[in-house]
Amino acid sequence: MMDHPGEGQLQAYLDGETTPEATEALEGHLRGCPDCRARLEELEALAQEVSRRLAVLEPETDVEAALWRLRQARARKRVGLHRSRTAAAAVVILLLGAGAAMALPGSPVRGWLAGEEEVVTVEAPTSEAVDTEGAALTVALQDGRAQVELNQLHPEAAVAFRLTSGPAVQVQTPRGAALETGTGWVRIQGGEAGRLRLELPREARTVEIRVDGAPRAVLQEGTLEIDGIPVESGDDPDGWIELPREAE
Amino acid sequence: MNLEQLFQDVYPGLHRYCVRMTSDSDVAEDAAQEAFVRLLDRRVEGDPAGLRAWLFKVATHLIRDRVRIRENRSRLLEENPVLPSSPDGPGEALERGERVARVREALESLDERDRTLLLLREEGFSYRELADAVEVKATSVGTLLARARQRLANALDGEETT
Repeated sequence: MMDHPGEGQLQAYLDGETTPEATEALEGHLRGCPDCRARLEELEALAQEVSRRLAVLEPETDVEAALWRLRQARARKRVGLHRSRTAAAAVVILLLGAGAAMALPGSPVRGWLAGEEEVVTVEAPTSEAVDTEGAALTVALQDGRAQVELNQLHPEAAVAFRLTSGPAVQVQTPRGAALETGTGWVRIQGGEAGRLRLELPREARTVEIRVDGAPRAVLQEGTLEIDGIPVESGDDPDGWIELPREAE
Repeated sequence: MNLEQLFQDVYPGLHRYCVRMTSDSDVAEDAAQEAFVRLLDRRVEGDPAGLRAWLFKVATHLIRDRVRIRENRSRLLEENPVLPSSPDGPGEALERGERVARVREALESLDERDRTLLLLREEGFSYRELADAVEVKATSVGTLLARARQRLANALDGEETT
């Protein structure tokens, strides 16, 4: 019979980490050695007790939310990299919003300008409706979701969508539209004729677009549906997809 | 690599491991997420078991670094205590909070190698993976593990008798 096994060998045997040969030798010894059997039982009880006590540190893990945060973190990095390569383009966008920002102290658009970044995260909701001259702003998602409400647009206004890899909803309105925004939502009302552009993050959980209260388009898990029909891409060479004026 | 599948498979255990390794819930969550960010940034490739081991190893280093920074700033460990929510009433919640604190203190009384070994084993890592994680021989893991468990049990019993 083999010598008394060490504690480490017994532990390895318990954990199924011994080779077949070592397992056979250990089992042969254990059959004839009550002391080692008792020590093995102690080690087993100790392992079970430790696992039982550690179980109190069992966090509630929301895997979906964590995966979403990971994608957000990655998207922010991509925006950061993209930003450094597109400084000239950023200046053009800033100038587009400048007139609106000057007239709107404290508005989200002003925050967007003051931040020296082309992307602003709207942290707190504002109920203040503001008139703009062709505003461009960014609306952060909330838990991966956003809602866009378009009300009483000009009869000649056109709404166009484009899917992007960015982290937030980008909005460009025609002149004269009134805006209300907050984290995860934007409400746009009125404005002159022209194109209202919405850039939607492909990785959003859901972005819903309502026109005069009626759901017209929804982006879900990377698929855009307009009036319930999945849409792949528009005729526009830049990828813009236009919303039909009337529901299909 | 299917990120979503890997995340679904690994994240819950990784998060639990991080929560047990540190008393700061923010550090735990950040470390678990940052490990995945680095996996993607560095385009690490391998089989699922290898990627899982890599993620746990990176998270262990991240926690160590962040705890060190936190300690340098003299922040209290209890600043963001991890107290898993429970549907219990106030009395049960208090008792549960005490149990959490007791286990937490006992874990913190272990040295880092013992704590890492013990918690990685709880997540089902093999002796070979444990040996790689704490840089010891695979043949030493059984002994180290048995002693780490005994030290934890002693620390828990000590807490209870005082």
